[in-house]
Amino acid sequence: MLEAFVRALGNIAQLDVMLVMLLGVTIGLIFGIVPGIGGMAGIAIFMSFIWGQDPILGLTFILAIAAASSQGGSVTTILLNVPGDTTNAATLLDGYPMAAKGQAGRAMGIVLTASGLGGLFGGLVLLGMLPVMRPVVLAFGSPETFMMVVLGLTFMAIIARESLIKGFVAGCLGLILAFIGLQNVTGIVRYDFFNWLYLEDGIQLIPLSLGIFAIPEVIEMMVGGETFIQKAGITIRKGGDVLEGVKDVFRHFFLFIRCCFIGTVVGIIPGIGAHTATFMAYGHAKQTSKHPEEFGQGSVEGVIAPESASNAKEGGSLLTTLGFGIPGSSAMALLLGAFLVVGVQPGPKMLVEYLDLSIWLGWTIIIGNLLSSFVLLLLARQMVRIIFLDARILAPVILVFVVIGAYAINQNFMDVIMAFVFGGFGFAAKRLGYPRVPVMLGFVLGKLAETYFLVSIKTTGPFFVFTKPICLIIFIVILITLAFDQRSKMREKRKLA
Amino acid sequence: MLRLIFPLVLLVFCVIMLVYSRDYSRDALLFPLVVLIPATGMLLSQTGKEAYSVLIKKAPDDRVDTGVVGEGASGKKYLITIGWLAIFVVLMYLFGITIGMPIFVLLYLKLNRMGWPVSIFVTVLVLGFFYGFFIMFMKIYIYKGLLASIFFGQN
Repeated sequence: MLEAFVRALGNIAQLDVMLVMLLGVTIGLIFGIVPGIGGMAGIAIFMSFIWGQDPILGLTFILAIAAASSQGGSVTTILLNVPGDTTNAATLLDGYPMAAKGQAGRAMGIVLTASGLGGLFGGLVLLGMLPVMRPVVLAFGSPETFMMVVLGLTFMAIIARESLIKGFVAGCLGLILAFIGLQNVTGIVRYDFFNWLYLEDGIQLIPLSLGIFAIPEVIEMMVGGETFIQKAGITIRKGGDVLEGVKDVFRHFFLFIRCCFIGTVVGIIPGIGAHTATFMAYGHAKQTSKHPEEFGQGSVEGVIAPESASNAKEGGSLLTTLGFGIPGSSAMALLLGAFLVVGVQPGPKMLVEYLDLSIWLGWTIIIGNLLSSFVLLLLARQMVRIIFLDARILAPVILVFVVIGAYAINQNFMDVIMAFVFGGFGFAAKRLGYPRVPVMLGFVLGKLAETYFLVSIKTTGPFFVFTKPICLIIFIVILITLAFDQRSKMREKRKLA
Repeated sequence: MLRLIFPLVLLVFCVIMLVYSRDYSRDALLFPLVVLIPATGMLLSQTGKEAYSVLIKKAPDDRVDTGVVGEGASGKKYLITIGWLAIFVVLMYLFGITIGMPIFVLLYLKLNRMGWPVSIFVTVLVLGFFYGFFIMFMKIYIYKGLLASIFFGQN
């Protein structure tokens, strides 16, 4: 195993891999910086670019986008008081006040160090856990694997904070879309709606992902018009020493480690979300600080905590994604789709069949985060100006990428039309609070889930959930998860009342 | 109203899928039923809830997760944007991707009050990237449009 780790590290340090990673990091940072688009749309748009490429390079590219996008949002948070997405909201509390006090450089130094090293921490935990996870995964048969898929869908469904039903509906829709086309087990074509030839191959992954993640964002951008953020009244903050910020992280090294740990653990538990990890870390930092009164006024600890948790989380998320096929975060759900694009079947057998690739991805998380910090260290002030770009220019350009992405793989114009159909669906879902990630997850794991379900029924009988101990445990975990979710929602309602 | 129409459309889709399933063999039918039946039930409940909320309580439309861009935009703006997307698809369908795409980019930029130099520059840049990367480098066969297939027999 150790040999595999070293071999993967040796392979990753090649020029072509590093260039691909640099490209992914740059794209991730740009999508992270532009508010309202986010890394998810970036991954969806560039997923088609990896089709036909070497799986390792392709997945490195996608994971680098995922790793860098959250750091991009942190930069706009500090320099402009504009969070890239919800993940950066906790950084806003102390990051911008620091910048307003003339310590923007120092805050940037903290962000780059804490997030870069946070990614390193999460990646090392991932690599350390892979050998431990492998025997666990090997103990899983079809029934256990099927239950893990159900567990994953449950976790993703509870992302819909507003309504559990909406979350489950979204997950079921993903599964239903996966039923269309040739069924693996029986070899018959299903739901082809009056022998429509296009549907015989099933719904295609890329048009679906572009439709539900990229087109709604482009629509919002086109509706917003002109600039994303009005330039007037916003200044790019200056001042402070970046190196001082780097030193700050080491001055509060134990806080950094604790927050990384919080981030990694939250990342391992699917469906919780990055913003929970960052706010948990922020709360912990405030509780344990000698100067809690400084929080909200530009506290150094208030910036270290969310940034270290945010990036450490990705390593944890990748662990459950690789180990059990359950994405720990939204970006990881799309990564599962990217696996399919390069011909790797995602799911619980990843650690068995693609161990080298899994180790490679662990290193990618680490190097991607460090590279992202390095790029930002050099170019943060220049890159942040993207936010002032005219949305009227960017929207049609992104739309062109969407069209080409949808068309490129099968070279079938129907895929473009389907991308827009799913775009309509994604847009309505986004506006009405139906989570989009479970749709993707259900679709990616749908065929696999069906195969495992049928094999389980045939080998163990229809009550396999109750006759297999691991299945029963997973089932109980599902029930407990749902109960806790309902309880927390009822508490929230009571608080509001 | 969208909050009522959306689950209703999904409900109709699930019912059609259920009806379509009836002739399949046991193995082909079992798992779809395991998913479709609860999904239909949940959608029925959601549609009922929304119908009550929209038609009886007359609650205003929910606007969740709108993000930063476009927040507060009117319904008319959304309709115009959806119209633009429809024009884009129709242009590509009729004239093919290589011609439809630059026409759309140029039209969109110009009609959104961008100057000619910027509009032409961006259009040429997009076309250049498209041609260079996808046609020259990736050697992708590009859809030439309905008109080309009618008049020149190409597809």
